[in-house]
Amino acid sequence: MKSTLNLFVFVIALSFFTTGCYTIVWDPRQEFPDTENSTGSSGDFYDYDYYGGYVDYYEAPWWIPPAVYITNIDGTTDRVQTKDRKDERNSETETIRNSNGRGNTDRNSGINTGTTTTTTNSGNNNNSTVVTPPPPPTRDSGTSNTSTTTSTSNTRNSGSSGSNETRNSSSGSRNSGSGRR
Amino acid sequence: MLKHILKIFSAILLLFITSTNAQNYNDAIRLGFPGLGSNARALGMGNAFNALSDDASASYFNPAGFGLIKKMELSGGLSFTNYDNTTTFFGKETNDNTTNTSLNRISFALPFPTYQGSLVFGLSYHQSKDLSSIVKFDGFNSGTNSKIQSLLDTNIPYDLFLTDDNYNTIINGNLNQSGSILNSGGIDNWTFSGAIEVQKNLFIGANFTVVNGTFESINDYYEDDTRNVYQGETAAGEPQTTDFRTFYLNNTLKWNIGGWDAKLGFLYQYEDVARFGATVQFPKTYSIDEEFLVSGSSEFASTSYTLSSDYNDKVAYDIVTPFELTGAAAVNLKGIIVSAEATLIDYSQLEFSNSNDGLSASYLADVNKEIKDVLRSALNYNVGFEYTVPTVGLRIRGGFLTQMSPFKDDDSEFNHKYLTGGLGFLADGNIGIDVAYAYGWWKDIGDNYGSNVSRTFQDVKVHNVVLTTTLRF
Repeated sequence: MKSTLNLFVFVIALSFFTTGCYTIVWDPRQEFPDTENSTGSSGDFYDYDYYGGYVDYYEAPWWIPPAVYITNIDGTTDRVQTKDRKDERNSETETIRNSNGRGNTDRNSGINTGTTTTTTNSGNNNNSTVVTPPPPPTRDSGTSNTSTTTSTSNTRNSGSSGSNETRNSSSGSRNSGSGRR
Repeated sequence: MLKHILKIFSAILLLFITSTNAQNYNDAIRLGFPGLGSNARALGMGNAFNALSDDASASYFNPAGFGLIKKMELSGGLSFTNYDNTTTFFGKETNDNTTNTSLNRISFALPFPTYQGSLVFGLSYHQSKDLSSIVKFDGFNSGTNSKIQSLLDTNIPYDLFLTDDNYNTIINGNLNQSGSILNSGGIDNWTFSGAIEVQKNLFIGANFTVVNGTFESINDYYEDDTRNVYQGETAAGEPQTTDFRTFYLNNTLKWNIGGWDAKLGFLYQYEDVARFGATVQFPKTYSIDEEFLVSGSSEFASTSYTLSSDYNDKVAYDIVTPFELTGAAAVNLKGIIVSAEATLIDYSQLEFSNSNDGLSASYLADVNKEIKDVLRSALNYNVGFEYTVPTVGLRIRGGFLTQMSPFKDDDSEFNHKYLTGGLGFLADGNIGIDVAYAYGWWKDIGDNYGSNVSRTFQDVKVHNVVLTTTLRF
C-alpha cells in the first residue's frame, strides 16, 4: 500500500514540476477575468442537449456572465456567451424599453384613426373638437397595397393676425419612438 | 475482617479488569467501518461519486472534485435513519427498531476567479457516520452457561449474593436471557478543502478534517429463572438468597470522540465523456474519552440486592484507522451518467494507540494483535447511474453499494448491502433539491459472553432518507 501511495505522490509531483501549474488565478491588480481575457477552461461534462438548465448550474463560472443557448432549426444548439452588461442605458435599450404604452405617437401607425380637428375661437372662448371616424377598412385585392393617411391640423384664429399655426405637422414629432409620458 | 479485605482487594482487581477488557476490535470497527456520507445525489447513485464529486460533498468523496465547482455553493441537508433488527436467539425471534433524524451537512464552496483553470476552496460540516443501532433479544438458554458464571472472575456475582464467600455459585445455566443494546451517536467532520487544476482537466485536491462526535451504548441484560430451577440458597449460608429470580446488569458506554484526518484526491476529466478519480484517505486518528458505567441487581423471593460498589471507570486512548484507497470512473453517455468505484481498506491495520489514561501499553499490544488475527482487508464497491430529463430539470438515480465485512470468517451475507434510488430537481436554475432513499440489509451476530454460547443472530434492515438542498450563485 505504501508503494501505491508513493507512486501517487510521485505522479502529482511530476505534474507540477514538468509543466508548472495550469491555473492562472485572478490578480486583483489586473483586469477582472471575463470571457475575453480568459484563455481556457475545462471541457464541459454536461451538454445542453441532455441537461438543459443544469449546464449553467455546473459549467458557468460565477464571475462570467451566463451563456445563452440558441436552438437551431435543425435541432442543434449553439452556446452564445452574453456580453458584460454595464450599468447605464444605451439607445437601443431605451428604444425597447419605451416602445410600449401611452404617449407613443407611433403606437397606432398603420391604423387609420381618422381626422381630428381642434378649432379655437378666441372671440367667444369656445373650443370644439370634431373627430371624424375612420372609414371602414377596404381591401385592395388587386394591388395588395394598404394606404393610410393621418392628418392632424390645429388652427388658432388669433383675430387680427390671421395667421395659422400647425403643431406636430412634421414627421419628426416630439414623441416619435419614445415611450409613455 | 478477612472478608472485608478480600472485598476491597476484589474491587481493586475488578477496576483493573474492567479497565483493561473494555476495549476490543469491535470498538475499532465502529470507527473504521465507513458510513453513508451526507449527499442525497451521491447516495441516490449508490455513493459511486468519487469520480463526479462536483459539489461541496467533494469534501467527503474526493476533494479534487472541488476544482469542478464554478459557482459559489451553499448546501445543507437532513438525514433520517430507521434501523430495524430482527434477532433470533435460541429459536425465538425478537424485533425492534430505532430511528434518528439529524442535520447532516452544511457546506460552502468558493471558486476563485481565474483567467485559466480552477482554484476552489471549501468549508464543510458533515456527518460521515450515523452510529445508531439496536439489538433486542429474548430466549431460554438451556445450556450450562450464563452471564453470572462468566463474571465469576469479577466481584459482581459476589456483591449481588449470587456466590458464597468462596466465589462459588450454584447457578449453572438454564436461565431465560433477554435484553437490549441501544446505540446512538455519530461522527461529525469539520473539513477545510482545496483543489486546483494543475493541467487542463486534471485536478488535485486535499482536505484536512477535524473530527468530533459522540457515541453511547446502553446495554441492558437480564437472566431470569423462569423454570424455577434454583429454589434453594443461591449463596450458601445466606437464607435470604433462597429462590433466585433475576439477575440484571447494565453497561453504559459513553464516548466523546475527537480527532483529525486528511485526504488527497485526484480527478481527471477525459474530454466531455468521462471522469476518473482516485483518493487516498490517510489514517484517521480518533481520540476517545471513554466513560464506562456499570450497575446491576439480583432478585430473590424475599429480597433484592443492588451493586453498591463504584464500578465506573474513565479511560482515554486513540484508535487509528487504516489507509483507504479508492479508484473510480464515471461515463456520460448522452445524458446518462454511469459511475463506479472500488475502495480498499485493510481492517487488520486498525490500531489502538497512545493510551493517556488507564490502559497499559502491553494491553494495547494484545488488542492490536487480536485485531490482526480476526480482521482482514476488504474491497467495497459502488455502482450507480443518473439520468436527467432536460425539459423539466428532473434527475432520476439508482445505485448499489456493498461494504464488505471486516471479519475474516464472514461470508457475503455479512456484507452491508444497499440498494439506493433518488430524485433531483433544479429550481430557478440555481437551487438544487435532491432526495435519496437507501435500503440496506445484512446479517450480524453478537455474543453476550464467551463465544457462540449466548449468541444473537441478527437480520438487519436499514432505511435511510437523505435530503440535500444546494444554492449556487
